[in-house]
Amino acid sequence: MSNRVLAALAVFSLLLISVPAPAQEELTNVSYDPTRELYEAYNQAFQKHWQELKKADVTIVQSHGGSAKQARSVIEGNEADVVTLALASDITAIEEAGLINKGWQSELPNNSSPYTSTIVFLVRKGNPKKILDWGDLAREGVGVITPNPKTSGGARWNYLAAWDWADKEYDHDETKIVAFVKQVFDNVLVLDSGARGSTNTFVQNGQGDVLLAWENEAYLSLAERPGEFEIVTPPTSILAEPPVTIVDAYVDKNGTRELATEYLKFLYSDEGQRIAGAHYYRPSNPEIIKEFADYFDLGLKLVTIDDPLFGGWEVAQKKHFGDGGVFDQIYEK
Amino acid sequence: MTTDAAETTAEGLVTPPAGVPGGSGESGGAAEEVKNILSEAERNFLSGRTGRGTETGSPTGAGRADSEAADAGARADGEDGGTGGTDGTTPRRGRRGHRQENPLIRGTLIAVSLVFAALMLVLPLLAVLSQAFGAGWDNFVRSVTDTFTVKALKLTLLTSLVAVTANTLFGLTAAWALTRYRFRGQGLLVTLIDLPFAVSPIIAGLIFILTYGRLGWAAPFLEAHDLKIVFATPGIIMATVFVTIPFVAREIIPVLAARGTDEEQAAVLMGAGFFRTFFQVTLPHIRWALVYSVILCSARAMGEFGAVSVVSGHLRGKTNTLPLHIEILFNEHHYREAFAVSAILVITSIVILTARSLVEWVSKKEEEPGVR
Amino acid sequence: MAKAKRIIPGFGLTMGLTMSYVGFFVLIPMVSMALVTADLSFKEIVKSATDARVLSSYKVSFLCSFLAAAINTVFGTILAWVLVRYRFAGRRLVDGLIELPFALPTAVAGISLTWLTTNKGWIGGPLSKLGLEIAYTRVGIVVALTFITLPFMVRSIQPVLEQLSPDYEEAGRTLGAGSLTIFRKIILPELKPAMLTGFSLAFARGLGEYGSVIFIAGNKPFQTEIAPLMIVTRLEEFLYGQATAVALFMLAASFIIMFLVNRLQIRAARFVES
Repeated sequence: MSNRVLAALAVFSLLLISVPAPAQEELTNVSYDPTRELYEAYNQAFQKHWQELKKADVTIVQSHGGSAKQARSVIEGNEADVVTLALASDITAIEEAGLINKGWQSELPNNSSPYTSTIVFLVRKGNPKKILDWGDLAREGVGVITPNPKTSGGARWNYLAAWDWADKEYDHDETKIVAFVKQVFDNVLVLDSGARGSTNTFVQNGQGDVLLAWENEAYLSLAERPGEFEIVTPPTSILAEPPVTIVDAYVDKNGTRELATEYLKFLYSDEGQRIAGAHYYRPSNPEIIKEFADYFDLGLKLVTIDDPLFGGWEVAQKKHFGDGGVFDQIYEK
Repeated sequence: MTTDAAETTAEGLVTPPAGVPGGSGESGGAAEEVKNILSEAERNFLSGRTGRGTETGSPTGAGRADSEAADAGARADGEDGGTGGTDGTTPRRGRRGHRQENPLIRGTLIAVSLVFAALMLVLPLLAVLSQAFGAGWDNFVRSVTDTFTVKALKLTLLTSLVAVTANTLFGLTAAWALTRYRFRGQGLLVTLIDLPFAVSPIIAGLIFILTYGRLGWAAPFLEAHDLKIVFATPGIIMATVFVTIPFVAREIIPVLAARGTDEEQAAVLMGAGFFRTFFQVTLPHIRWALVYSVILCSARAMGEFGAVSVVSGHLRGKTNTLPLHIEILFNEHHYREAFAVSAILVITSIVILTARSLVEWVSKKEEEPGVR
Repeated sequence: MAKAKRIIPGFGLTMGLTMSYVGFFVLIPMVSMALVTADLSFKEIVKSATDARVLSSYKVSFLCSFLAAAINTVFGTILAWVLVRYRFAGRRLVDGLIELPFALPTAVAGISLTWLTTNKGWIGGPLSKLGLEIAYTRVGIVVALTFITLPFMVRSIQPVLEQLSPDYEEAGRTLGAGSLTIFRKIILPELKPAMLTGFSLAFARGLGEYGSVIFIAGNKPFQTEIAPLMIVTRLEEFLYGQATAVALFMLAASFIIMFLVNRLQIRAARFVES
């Protein structure tokens, strides 16, 4: 009798062991450098959301690094379910490697960019050099800090924003535009390889008079060393659209398509948009951005990369930053 | 193998990379004797130094006394020769008994190296520590006990442990093979072992990506067997191994080459097997070189950033080693935290190195009575 | 009859292990890199490895690595000598600090050195008043490389010095030689092979160093842009072939240097023997 009980117990416990616990789903988000705090907050909100929706837990693994480097790691086999990068061209590179389906950018609203940002000037307290607009960057004696557009996604926006200003100032005369951009880069004291390196050069090492920075990074620098810097928003700038998408090949392999889709869709929800705003990214929802009007200059005129002036990332990349492109020529002359 | 082969390889042989002092010049049966003298002299030299700190009446001086005294006059001669005069040798004998060279030179050299070390080592160290503790002790503790920091630390320790163990075994085997036998292509093999030093860390990471990554030729095989190397722990370990391959081999080869093979041959002729010969005859002689190299190797393995950064994928809590975690903290505008975590690496290495220094000191002290 | 000389057992075992280890960790991956470069035509390889900007970056890299290795040869040798031969307060601490450049992640080293040497830093501040700029110039690159490669030099020389008996020097003094003569005639020949090793290791490592240099260099094209940065630049554009072409060129260069130094070393060793 007791033997039977024991046997039954044994079988029961075996069953208990072998019945798999509800599998913990895992999602890998490969992102670029300055989004860590944004996604840290967002992931918590999403975990709660997923719990309400599916009654299941989800673990989110984050990866941060330079945008192009992160894109390369995905191409080389880093199995990201979603990528949330700085530039559409980096995601296009993954698409060209055959991992993301064509037409990804129209799958989600607003060019697949749930939040945007722009380029602003970070200057020293009191703005001693009176740097107010792009033209001031070319003035003699102004020390400019920007990362290298060849190695930093953010720096490409800096360069293009300057180009846009000069285009209007010099009435599309490309010789004059190039001369202006060259003058700005002649004023560049240190050409760091990444945005964070530049911020460090400006903030910790006290180099230069103005740092060309992402709006959200500029606010982080203010928080890092309060009372030492000011943000100057130039009258015109560029609309930086950091896009997000699913990596089709990997979600199919990992069976996470539904989870990944919901993860990105939730970025567009009111809650997701407010989290972006709270981390100094401009929410794409025109109603929600108004809630953050105290620190976003909403009157700013923003040119986009798809403006005929640039003709989209592919064209701009080749013309300006490719091997032997305008940026190379600036330094070769 | 022909004699011809033996000759060619003799030329290309290692050529005791880090220099084979004196001994290599000696030959025949005398070599053994010379070595004994040398090692004894070395120990005497060390004990003499210890005694020197307390100037006269050092307890260790005894064994050395006569030679010291005998040399002293000559030494004084030598110095005077350097400065021009040769007079008054005898009166100086007593006073200069413990000195071997011009104190001015000694002082200058110490001063120069202290200034150099201060500029190149101490100041950077202070810079790191001042940044690390700049925001106070609480901030430091919070940074180093963060969950992700602890996870990164564990991964770093695991990676270093595996890489250092593998490279130590390899270094010993390679050093044995390269110094105990002559064969064709010896020079090439040494160069291959050296190669990782000459490879940029970026490339060191890239080559593993291009081999085992999705674009690599090994990808279909790995995919079929559901093996993951890059962007996972194995890749991180492999990159670390690659970067630190030469350390142990490099340090052991010259020492073994300098010792010659006489003792091993004798042991083998007396009937000892491979392992017994190695552990009882060879190992004791290379003990310190081994300790040095393992520490050097560990320091480099723990601190390696470039190569690992390429193969890691930076997955937080999964494939982030300590150096990568530091970079991430820095990029996230957590400047102080980044330096606080760097301080872990710095303090660990200093503790290990000081410990080594002490162990060395204590054990050499213990050896001394036996010598005398 | 080389085989007959092999009294010591274990040849098959140790050689087998050594070869497979080197093969697995060094040869196979290096061959993969060459394969990627082979995607390009020979013309393209030459073009991407000898572009004007790339050439200027080689110049910066070679010059700065050479200077850093040379500085370390002088000061590293003195440092090793002092650490082995003299006893003074703080010796153990300095000895323990030698590996610091290895333990410190290169990026941290770069950030710290830059912080020290800008015109606002502890060292750079006073120097900039004298008109000497370190950070964001080639001098800065040399400083970073000197720091990174210091352990190679000191740790190459130290073991040799430890085995070098002072008896030789004493003998020299007995024969009436001055300090300089003793150094030149007795110590230097013994140290030469180790110094060459240290030099070539430091030089080769300096050529490849990236993490620390990018922070201190300023990275201005044609002025302070180093060769590894050009590799990264190519990779950022997803041009693997061109990146590995530059990498192969760098590798070949450091290989030749190491080889030449090895030849010199053989001569130096022979000189000692004769």
